[in-house]
Amino acid sequence: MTPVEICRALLAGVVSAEHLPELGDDDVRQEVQYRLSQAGCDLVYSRHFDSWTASFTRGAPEAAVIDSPTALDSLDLAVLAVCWLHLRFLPAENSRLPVDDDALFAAEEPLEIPLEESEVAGSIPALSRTRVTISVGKLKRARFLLQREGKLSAGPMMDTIDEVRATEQARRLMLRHQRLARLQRQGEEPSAQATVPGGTNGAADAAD
Amino acid sequence: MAPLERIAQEITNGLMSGAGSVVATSRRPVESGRYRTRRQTPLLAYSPFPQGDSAPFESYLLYVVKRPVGPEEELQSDRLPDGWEPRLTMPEQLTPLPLVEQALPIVTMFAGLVGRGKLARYRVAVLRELAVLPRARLPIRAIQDSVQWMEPSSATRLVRDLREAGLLAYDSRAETYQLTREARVVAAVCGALTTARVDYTRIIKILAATMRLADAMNAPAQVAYATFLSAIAILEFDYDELGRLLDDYSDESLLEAARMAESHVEDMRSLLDEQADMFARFHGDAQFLEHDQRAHHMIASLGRLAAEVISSLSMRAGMRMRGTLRVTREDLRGMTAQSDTDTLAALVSGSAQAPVFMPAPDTVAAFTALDGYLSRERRRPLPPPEPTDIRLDPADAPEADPADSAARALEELVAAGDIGLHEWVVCGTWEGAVGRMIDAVEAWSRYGPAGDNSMLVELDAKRDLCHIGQREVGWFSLTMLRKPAGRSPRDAG
Repeated sequence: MTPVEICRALLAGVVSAEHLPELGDDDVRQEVQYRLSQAGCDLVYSRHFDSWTASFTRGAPEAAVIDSPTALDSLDLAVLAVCWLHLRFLPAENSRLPVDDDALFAAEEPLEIPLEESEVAGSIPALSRTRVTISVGKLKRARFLLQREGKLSAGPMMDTIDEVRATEQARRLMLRHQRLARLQRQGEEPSAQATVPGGTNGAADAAD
Repeated sequence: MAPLERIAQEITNGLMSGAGSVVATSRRPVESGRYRTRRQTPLLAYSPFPQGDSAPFESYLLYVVKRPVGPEEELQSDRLPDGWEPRLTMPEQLTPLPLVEQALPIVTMFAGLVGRGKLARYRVAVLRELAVLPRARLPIRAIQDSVQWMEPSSATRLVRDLREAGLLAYDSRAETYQLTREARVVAAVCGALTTARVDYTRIIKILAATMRLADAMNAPAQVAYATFLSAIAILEFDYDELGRLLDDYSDESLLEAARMAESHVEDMRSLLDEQADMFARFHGDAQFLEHDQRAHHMIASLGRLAAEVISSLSMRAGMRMRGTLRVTREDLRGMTAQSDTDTLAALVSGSAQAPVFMPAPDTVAAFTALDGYLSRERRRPLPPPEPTDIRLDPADAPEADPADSAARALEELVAAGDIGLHEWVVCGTWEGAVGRMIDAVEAWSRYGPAGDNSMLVELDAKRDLCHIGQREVGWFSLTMLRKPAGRSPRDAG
């Protein structure tokens, strides 16, 4: 296929890498990248699905978008983030734990555990269940998610997420959450002691 | 060999230019479609070897690279008795001396610049000042003005030194000085070496630069070859060093060595790319191909080992930094529940962009699903059973309280005169007698003196036993029933 034909195929959907062997050539790939970039698109490779497609370089300007079925708003992105945390971040983090010191260079692919939609909805209580269902539907259509036997798993577009940056941010959030939880526990312990009969000395000390 | 010595040797190699040689150039297409000028072997240049036969030189290089150097073979001082000269074990043509001799005109200039006493730094400084002046021909006054930080007489003296070293040419007619071409190279090299020590992480870069310098100076290709072998030796040293540190369990040194090795591997890749044209000249040489394979093998082996070490140690460091952070699904759920949607969206908003393709609905699947839905049998609740007549039984008459019956029976008995309780209790069977005894005790408890005292009977329990011996009762504790004195009959209703 010529670079132009490859571009057409990529703009039409997700194409398996075995059907586009030409993209293994640096020159062809650069040509395709250049042509896509002229239209504000990126060439995207999915490592887990060994496939290629094209995505927008940036989100479309809000004023220009009247009704785009593929546009993802911030709520959709929040749902996507929750799915990514469960499907990619959690297995990756736990696979990094030093299970065996001798396995110095072991690097196995983290095992992804499919997700129930109810789990997603339960993780974002700020969103109604209907809103989560709508977002999950959009993410499925955009191939960020796949649904198999009623459970959600990561789709090829999930590989476009900058995992390094997202992982660092997620770790910061997680650490902050754990610190807050610890502080809350520490805050509850003295108050629990203060309610115990005879525990007024502690309260007096605190008042001092 | 220390890095600084290695660099000095490579620079010397780089300066081995073929003076007065005629150089042929050719243009050949390269893969990218561009044309690149390529220098070929000098046609009329002085060469220590027969044209096209570089085997002796390569044998020497192999000997130098592979031979272990003992401390007793370190370079000795030049202060030797007059007339002394090293004795060679083979003809001079088979040694590197002819090549080195080509470098001597410029190397000697370095000696003239820095090799004579304590004035070296002044001479180098003056030379560098002169090299940056915009004018080519300089009268002595201009030179003195350009070195304002030195007295004019001192500047004049140093100019004379530079002239004697061949770095400055004097035009007696115009009474001006001019830097020679060699002096400009010497000044540039001195400037490039303005560093206290050689950074080992950049050593392959430096060797690659000397190869480029040699190429620019029209030095023989064998000089670049020798530098290439030197670069391979550095990679092999790095590989050995990494292996040694892996055995030592020294994480910090290991990580540092791995990072350095990784940078060396990258530099070596660049060197091979840059010098591809030069190396192409040796592709007919079996020994070179062997060294080339050795270089690529080291790049692959060292690169892989360094990457594994860095990855492993960085992972361990990451674990240490994160401390006891172990993420569970419960933690994750708690974290996402407490975070607002904007914070969550920010995790992926920078990189997650929607695909370009328009996801078309699968109409066949949709209508099939609708058809399946509509054709499903509707589940109705089961109908209630047919109504039937229920048999109605009349309510039973309330049973008489056996205690009341017993009280009435005892009162009737007492009305006729005193009598023993056994006369009423023993009635024919043992179960009947027991039942009547219980009823009598219940009536006495309820209506006797302990109860409402309404029963017109008085029980008098004797210590004696009376023998019955009939109707399944053998003996009975003697209890007499009497009518209490002065009491009216009890109202049985």
